[in-house]
Amino acid sequence: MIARQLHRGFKTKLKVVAAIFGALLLVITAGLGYRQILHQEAFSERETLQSQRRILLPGPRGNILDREGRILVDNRPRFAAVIHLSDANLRRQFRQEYLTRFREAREAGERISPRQLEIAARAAVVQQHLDTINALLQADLAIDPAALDRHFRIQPLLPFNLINDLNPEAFARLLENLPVDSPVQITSSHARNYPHGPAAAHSLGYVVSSLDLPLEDLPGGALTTFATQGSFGRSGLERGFDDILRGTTGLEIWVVDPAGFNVERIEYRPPVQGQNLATTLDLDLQLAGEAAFADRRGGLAAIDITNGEVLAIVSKPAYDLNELSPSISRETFTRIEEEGAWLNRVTQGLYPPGSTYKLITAIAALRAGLLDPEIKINCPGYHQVAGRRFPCHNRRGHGDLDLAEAIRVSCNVYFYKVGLETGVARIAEESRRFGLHEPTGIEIPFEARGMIIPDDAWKRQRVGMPWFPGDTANLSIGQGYLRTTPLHMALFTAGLARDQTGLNPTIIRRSPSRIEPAAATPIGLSPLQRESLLAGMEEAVQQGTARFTRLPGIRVGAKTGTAQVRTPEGTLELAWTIAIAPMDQPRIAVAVVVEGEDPDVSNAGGMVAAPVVRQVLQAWFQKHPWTSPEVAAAPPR
Amino acid sequence: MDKRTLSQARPFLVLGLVLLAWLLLPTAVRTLLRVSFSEFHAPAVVTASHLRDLQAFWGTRLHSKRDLIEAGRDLARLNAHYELGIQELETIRLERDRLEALLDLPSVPGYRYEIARVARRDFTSWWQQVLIRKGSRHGLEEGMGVIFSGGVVGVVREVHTYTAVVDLLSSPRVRMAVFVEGDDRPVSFRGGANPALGPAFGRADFVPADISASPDRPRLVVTSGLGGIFPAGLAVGLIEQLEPGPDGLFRTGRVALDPRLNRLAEVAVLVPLEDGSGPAP
Amino acid sequence: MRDPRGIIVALIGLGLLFFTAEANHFLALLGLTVFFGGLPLAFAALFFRLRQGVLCAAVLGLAMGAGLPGSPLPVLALFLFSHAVIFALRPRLHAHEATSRTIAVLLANAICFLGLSLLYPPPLWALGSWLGRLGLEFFLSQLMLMGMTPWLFSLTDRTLNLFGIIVEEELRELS
Repeated sequence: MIARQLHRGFKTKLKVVAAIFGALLLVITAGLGYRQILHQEAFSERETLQSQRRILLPGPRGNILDREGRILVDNRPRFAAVIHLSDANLRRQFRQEYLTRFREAREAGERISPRQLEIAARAAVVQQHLDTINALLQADLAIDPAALDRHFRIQPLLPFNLINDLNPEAFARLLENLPVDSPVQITSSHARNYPHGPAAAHSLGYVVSSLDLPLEDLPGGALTTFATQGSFGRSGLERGFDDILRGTTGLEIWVVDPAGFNVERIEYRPPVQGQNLATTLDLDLQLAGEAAFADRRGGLAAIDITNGEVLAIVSKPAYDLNELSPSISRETFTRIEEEGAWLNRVTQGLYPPGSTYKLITAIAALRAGLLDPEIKINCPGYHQVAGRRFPCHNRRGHGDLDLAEAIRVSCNVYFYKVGLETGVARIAEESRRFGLHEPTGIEIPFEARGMIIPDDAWKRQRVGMPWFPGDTANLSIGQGYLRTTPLHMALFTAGLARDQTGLNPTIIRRSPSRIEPAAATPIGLSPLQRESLLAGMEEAVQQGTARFTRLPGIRVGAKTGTAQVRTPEGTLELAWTIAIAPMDQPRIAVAVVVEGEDPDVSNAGGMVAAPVVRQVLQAWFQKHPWTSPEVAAAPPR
Repeated sequence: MDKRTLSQARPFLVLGLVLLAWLLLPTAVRTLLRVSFSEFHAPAVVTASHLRDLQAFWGTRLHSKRDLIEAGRDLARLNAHYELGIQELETIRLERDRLEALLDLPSVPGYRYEIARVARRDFTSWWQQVLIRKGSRHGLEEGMGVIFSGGVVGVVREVHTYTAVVDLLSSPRVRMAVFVEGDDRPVSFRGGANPALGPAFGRADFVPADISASPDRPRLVVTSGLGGIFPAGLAVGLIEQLEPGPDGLFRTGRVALDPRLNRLAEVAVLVPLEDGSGPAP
Repeated sequence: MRDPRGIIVALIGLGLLFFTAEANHFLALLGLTVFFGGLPLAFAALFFRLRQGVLCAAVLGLAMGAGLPGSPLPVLALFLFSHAVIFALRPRLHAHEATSRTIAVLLANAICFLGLSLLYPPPLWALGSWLGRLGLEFFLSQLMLMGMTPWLFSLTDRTLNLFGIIVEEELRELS
C-alpha cells in the first residue's frame, strides 16, 4: 500500500519532470525553428562569410605613348616560381613531416611547442621543394621560416613566392622540369617597363606597389579579402593620370575549408588593363635632347608653337626608370637623391633667366612707348646706376646700337638703360602677362609655384628693403631676384613667335575638338617693333651670340643668356638659350638651361646651351623635311 | 540490417578493405607490384610489335622486283643527299667548336640519338603515350626527350628494362618551354587533347602580346633549348590563332601538332652526352 | 591454387585487354580507341563468388593501372567498384539470360568509362574536343560490346569447362 502510494507520488513527480523537460524541449525546438526559419538569411550570410574568401587581382596599367604611338612606358612580364600552400599534396607533406618531427622529438625527450614544430615542419617541406629548384637552377636559395609562417597565417590562399623575376633560362628550365601537378608553379605578374630607360623620366614618372586596389562594383565586399600587389603612380604622368592608367581590378571568390584553404573557385572576373595614355612627346626629339645634354645638368623644353603641345622635356641628371621597377632599393633612392636627380628641372627648377629676359624688358618698353627700335643707344662698356657701375660683358663697349643689334650682341648697357627708363612695374607687369609668375598648368604634377617676379612690393615684403634702381638694372637683364623655370621661358618664346600671350602648354595628346582654346591675347606690338625683336634673334643666330644654333638652310631665331647664381661653392653660371624655328613660319620653340658646375669654368649660353638647342632643332627638321631639304639630307645623329 | 542487404553491401566492404590494404602496403611492395605488372606486359607487347614488323617485312617481300629496284634507287638518291647533309653538318659543327673555343663559350649540350621502334601507340581520351622498344639497358632514363622526323614526340615517363613509356606531346602531363619561330622569348607549351579524326593539339601560354598568328599565316613553335631536355629549334606545332589575355601582356593560342604523331612507328630518344660533345653521326 | 577460376577469367580479361590495345594501336591512326574492360569484370561479378570476382577485378585493375601515369590505385579501385556494383545487382539480374548479361556488361563498362574520365580529366580549355571524342568512343565501345558479349561469355564458359568448372551449375548453387 505504502509502496503503491510512493509509486503514485513518484509517477506524479516523474510527470512533472517530464512536463518540464517537454516544455523545455518545445521552447528549444521553437527557438531553433524560429532562428532557422526567420533568421535563415542571416545564418546563410554568416555561413557565406565564414566559408568564402575573395582574392583581388590588380589590372595591369595602360601604356604611355608618344605622339606617334610609340611606346614610352609599357608593362613587362615578371615570372616567379611560387608554391601553393593550399595544395592538398603539400598539406599532406606538412602533416607527415610534422608527425615525423613530433615522433623524433618525443624519442629524443625534447620539449618543443607544437607551434614551433609546425613552423619547422612547413619550412622543411617548402625547403625540399626549393631544393629541387636549387638543383635545377644550380642555386643555393633558402626559405625564411618566419616569412613563410607569416604568409601562411595571413594569406594562406595566395601563393608564396620562392623566386621572383626569373630570367628566361630559369623560366624555361623550371617549366620543363617541374611536374605539371607540382605545388610549385610558374606564375606571371607585371611590372612597369621603360624601353628608353631614363628618357623623359621626370615627365613619365614612376609607380610604387600598393595593396589598395580600386574596387568598382566588385561583389563580395563583406568577405575576407586578400589582394595581390598592384601599383599607383607616384610622380609624373603616372601620378597625374593614375585613374586612366590604372587597370580594372579582377577578383576570384573561393570556397574554403575550415582551415581556410581554397577548395573551389566559384567566381572569377579577369582583371582588365588600364587605358593607354597618348602624350604629345616626340620620342626622336626627346632622345636627341637627352643625347645633347650628355652628362651635363639642366633642363630643356621644346614646344609646338602652333598649339602649345610639349614635344620634349629633358631634365638632367635623370635616373633610369627601370631601376625603380618593380620597387626602389634604398641604395638607388639615396643615389638619386645625392645626385639631385629627383628634381624636374624643367617644371620645378627655378633659375634667373639671364639675358633671355632682355626680350621681355624690350617688350615692356616698346609697349609703353618708351623705346623706338630704330633709335640707337650708346654702350660705353658700363652704366653708372646710383653711383654703382654696372658693366657690359664687352668691357670696351658696343658703341651705338639699335634694338636688333642690341639683341644680336646681347648688350647689357642697352637694356640697363631701357629697363631703367621703363621701370620695374612695367617690366614685372609684362612678365606676369606672359604668365611667368604662376604655374603653367601643364599636366605633370608638382609644378613649381615659387616663381619670383620681383618688384617694389615684393622686395619690401620678402627682403624687408625698398627697391633700388640697381635692382631694376639687374632685372632688366634677367638677373637679381628673378626666378622662373625653363618651361616658362619656352612658353614665352612660343608666345613671342605666335605674337600672343597666355599659351596653355599640354603634354597630353587630345583630338583637336577637345583642345581648350587658349585665353590668348595679342602681345600688343606694332609690326615694326615685333620685326625688330625677331630680326635681332635671327641676327644673333647668323652672326651674334647664338651662332651655335645655326642650321644650314633654315631661318632660326635665338637669344642666349648667361646668368650668375651665388652658391656656397662660389658664383656659378647658368647657360641659357631660347630659340624659334623656322622664322618664316614658326613651328617649334625651345628653351634650354645648362647649369655650370665649376665656378672657375665659363658656362656661356652661346657656347654651352646653344649647341643643345641646335641638336634638338636638327632632329625636328629631319622629321619635317619640307621645311628644309638641306637638313633632311643630313645624316641622322 | 537483413541478410540480403548485408550480402549486397559485402562487395563494397571488400572494396574498402582492399584499398585500405593497398594503402597500408609498404611503398617498396607497391612499387614492386607495379613494376612486376609492367614487366609482365612488356614481352607480349614487344612480341606483338616484332610480329607487326615481320608482317611488314613479308608484306614488302610481296612487292615486285621492279618496285624494289625503284625503291632501292630512290633510297640511294636519298642516301647521297643525306651524305652531303652529314658532311655539311660536320663542317658547321667544327666551325661551332672553333667559335666556342675562340669566345670561351660553354659547349652546346650534345645528345646521342637512341633509335627505338614504337611497340604500341596508346592514344586514348584519357592518356596519350607510346611504348617503345628500348629501355634502361639502352641508357634511357626518365625525363629524356623523344623526337621523330617531324619534330618533338614527347618525354620519357617510365623506363623498364627493355621498354619505356613516352608521354606524347598532346598529353596534358607534358609541358615545355618553346619559342615562336623568329622570337627568342620563352613561351609555355602544354599538351591538350587528341580529338577523334583530327590532329592532336596543345596550348601555348605566355605568348608575348606583340606576336600574332592567323590560319593564313600560322607561326611555327619550336623547342627553346633552354629547358635542358631538348636542343633548340625542333618543331613542336603550329599556332594558328592567338587570343588576347586579360592582362594585355600575353596571348594564348592553340598549337596544332603534327598529324604524323598518330602514325608514329620509329622515334629517337635524346640521351645527353656526358662530355657535352655533339650528337653522334 | 584450389580454385583457379578467378585467375582464368583474369587471364582471359588480360588477353582481351591486350587485343584491345593492339586494335587501339591501329585505331590511333584515326584518333580513336575502344575500351572493353567491363566485360571480364561483369562475367566475374555475375558468375563467381565474391572472393574470386575480387581477385579477378584486382588483377585486371593492377594490370591496367600499372601502365598508366600515376599510381595504379585509382584504376584498381575503379575496377573493384565496377565489380562491386554488378555483384550487388546480381540478385536482380538474371545471369542466365543473354540480355541481362549484356546489360551487366554495358553497365560495368560504362562505370569504368566514366571513372577513367574522372580520373584522367583534360585541361578545361580542351574539354570540348575531349568530350566529342569521348562520346564517340563510348558509343563505339558499347556498340561493339553488345556484339562481343555473347561470344566472350561463351569463350570464357568453354575455357572454364576445360578446367572442370561448370558455370551454370555454380550459378544455380549461388541462387
